[in-house]
Amino acid sequence: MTLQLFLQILVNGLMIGAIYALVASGFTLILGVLQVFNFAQGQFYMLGAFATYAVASVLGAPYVVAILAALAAMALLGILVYFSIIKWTLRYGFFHTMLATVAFGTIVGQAAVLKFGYSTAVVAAVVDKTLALGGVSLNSGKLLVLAGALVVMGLLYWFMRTKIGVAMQACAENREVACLQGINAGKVFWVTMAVGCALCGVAGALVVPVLSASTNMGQLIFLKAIIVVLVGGTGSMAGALLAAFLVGIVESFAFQYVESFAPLVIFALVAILIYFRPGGLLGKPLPIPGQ
Amino acid sequence: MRLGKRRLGTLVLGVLFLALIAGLVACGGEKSTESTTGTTQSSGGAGATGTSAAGGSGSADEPVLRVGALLSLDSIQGVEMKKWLQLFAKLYNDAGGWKIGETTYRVEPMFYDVGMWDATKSRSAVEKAVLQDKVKYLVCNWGDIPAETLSVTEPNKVLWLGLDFVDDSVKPTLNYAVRAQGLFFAQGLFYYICQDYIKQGAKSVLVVCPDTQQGHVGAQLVGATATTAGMQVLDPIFFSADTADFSPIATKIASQKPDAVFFSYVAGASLINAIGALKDTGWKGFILPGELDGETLNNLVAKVGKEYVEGMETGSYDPRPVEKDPQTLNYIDAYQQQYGDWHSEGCFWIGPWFIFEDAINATQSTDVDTLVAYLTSSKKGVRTLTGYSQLFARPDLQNYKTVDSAPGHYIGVVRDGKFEYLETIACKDQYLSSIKVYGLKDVYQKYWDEYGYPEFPDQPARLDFSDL
Repeated sequence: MTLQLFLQILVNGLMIGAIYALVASGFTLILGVLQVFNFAQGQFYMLGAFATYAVASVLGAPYVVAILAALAAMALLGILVYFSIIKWTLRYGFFHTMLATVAFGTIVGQAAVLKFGYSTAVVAAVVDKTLALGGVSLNSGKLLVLAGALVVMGLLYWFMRTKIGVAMQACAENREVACLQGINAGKVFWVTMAVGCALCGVAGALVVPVLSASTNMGQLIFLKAIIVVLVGGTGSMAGALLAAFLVGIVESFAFQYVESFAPLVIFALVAILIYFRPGGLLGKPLPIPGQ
Repeated sequence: MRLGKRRLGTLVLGVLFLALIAGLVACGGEKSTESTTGTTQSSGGAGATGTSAAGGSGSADEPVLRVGALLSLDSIQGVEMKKWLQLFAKLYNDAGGWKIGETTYRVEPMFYDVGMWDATKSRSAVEKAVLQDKVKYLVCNWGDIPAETLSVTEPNKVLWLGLDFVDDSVKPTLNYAVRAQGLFFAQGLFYYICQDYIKQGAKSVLVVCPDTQQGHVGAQLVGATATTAGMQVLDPIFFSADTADFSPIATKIASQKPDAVFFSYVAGASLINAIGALKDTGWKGFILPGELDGETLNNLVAKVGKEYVEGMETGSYDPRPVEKDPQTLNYIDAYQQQYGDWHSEGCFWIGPWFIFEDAINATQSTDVDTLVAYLTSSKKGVRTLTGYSQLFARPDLQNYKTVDSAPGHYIGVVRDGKFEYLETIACKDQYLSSIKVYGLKDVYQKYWDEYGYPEFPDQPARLDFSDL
């Protein structure tokens, strides 16, 4: 392998990692704070992409406005889902909530298929240049995704240090003790849903000028988001970020050598990691129902 | 009972949410189809997996012709095939029914969701159709496992007119199966394009496919066709079906430096993203997307620019810019009136319906054995939405009945970002080029010596028997 090819594969992995980081961060936030395994998380990513398409391509609004619209729409939808589904199933336990999100995700996925068919939505590239550095090609749109992911992570880092952010962390650490300290868990939960879903909306919005939107894009990325969360550790934002880039890079290199067996390589590495570190790289083990 | 303010608010939110979902579903649903589930005289109603829908009014004692279809309703092809079958049934029913012999039937399509290549779902769907709903004809399929289906249809003497990517349905031991849509005799498309690309200087080709059964079959067939046409075939690249970012794939393609890249069974967003990633690597060469509809081409041009795809040849299943046949034009109009928009994804795969319709009209019978006898000694092409389709024997499998189809295909070229129709691939070319690609000339020659050369529809063709 030449150095040029090595660097190209590395860059490809970082680009893929940026997409995974955006989707997985919302997923791990909800899993960590609410202890809800949100199977519909990928659908918020898909809806975010289509919302961006609708605002930017159909209505002709500037791309930045479309990103904000996707963020707001997914945050609102997250709140709606919390109050209409999560809140009522949460009291019955982990599996009830998980199944409810499976149902919600399936309904949203099928509704999207009925509404949009299997059409592909393309948003014009914001920056449409492929840069070449030492023979390594860098798609400027993907660089923007990478930059966007880092900015979003930075904002999230700041947010988690605000009063509500600290309350979210407290709930993630120990819900009962947090409540005894006077934290309003109900408020923390719906804010978490809003932020977690908004992150996916932003992910969809950032990605859609680079990767075309389709109604199955949420399903496709969801498995990767789970892997990232497993590797990074439940509820750990830093872990999700680190794991996203690791998974992206491993996937990129594995494809070069074993092509479609690349997922097998990833699963094998995840299995080994989980065996030695059940809590992933930086988190704690997944919540086990009943314990 | 009194509700607190909070609970009332939540209830309102819940209702609003459900209304939103219902609204979304209603917006996307078919516009004017009437469900007639389980109101027919012939057998019990459809249950959990089987649903029927056909236009027109019908009474409970009216003769009904139930036509089953095993479709994956998670796929665009399955959804589109369902829409076409509903439309065909509606057209018959609105015209007073389908007159077969002395009886006029109301047509009732029955749909069974089979998931995506899920053996368990396939099995339960076909059992429901055949054993519970007593469907006698299974016409058109997508996403099922034909081997599972045939293990139920054969002993129950149910006519299966379907699609099969492997040769499970064309074995000589089968009596009621006709592969009315297959790709065995469909090498004409790639053969034509390979010839055209070789003329333009292409020497090597790399086939890129999803890691699915279809993908592997496609890679094998496309590779064999390219080799026969005179191209050097590099090791194919298979990618996971859940690939979102195609950069690693594009990097690998570019590192092998092929003159041409053939994307087999890569469509929609995947195709656009794959070609976009390929452009990012700086690779330039000939591209062959297996299939390209107008919407995908528009999106592709928006993504990579028209210069990058200029001169790209491709198969197409869109009959609109091509067909002049009045009946086909009527179908296109009816589809657009019924559904408002246009999708080409089902046009090719709905072919078995026309072969079924031709058999019924020619025999004026609904008897399965009569229909099978007609189909398995077929001597002519049948017009479908994408040109002629014709049934042929498979002497290479010792099956001398006409049970396998050479389907119609269009070929076009991208000029200035638009699809420009080049030609229709003749049934004769599909048939002959496939025999040539598989190296089966001797086997077929023996068959022709005994049974005579097949007759083909009157279409311009590039190949002749002397080319083999």
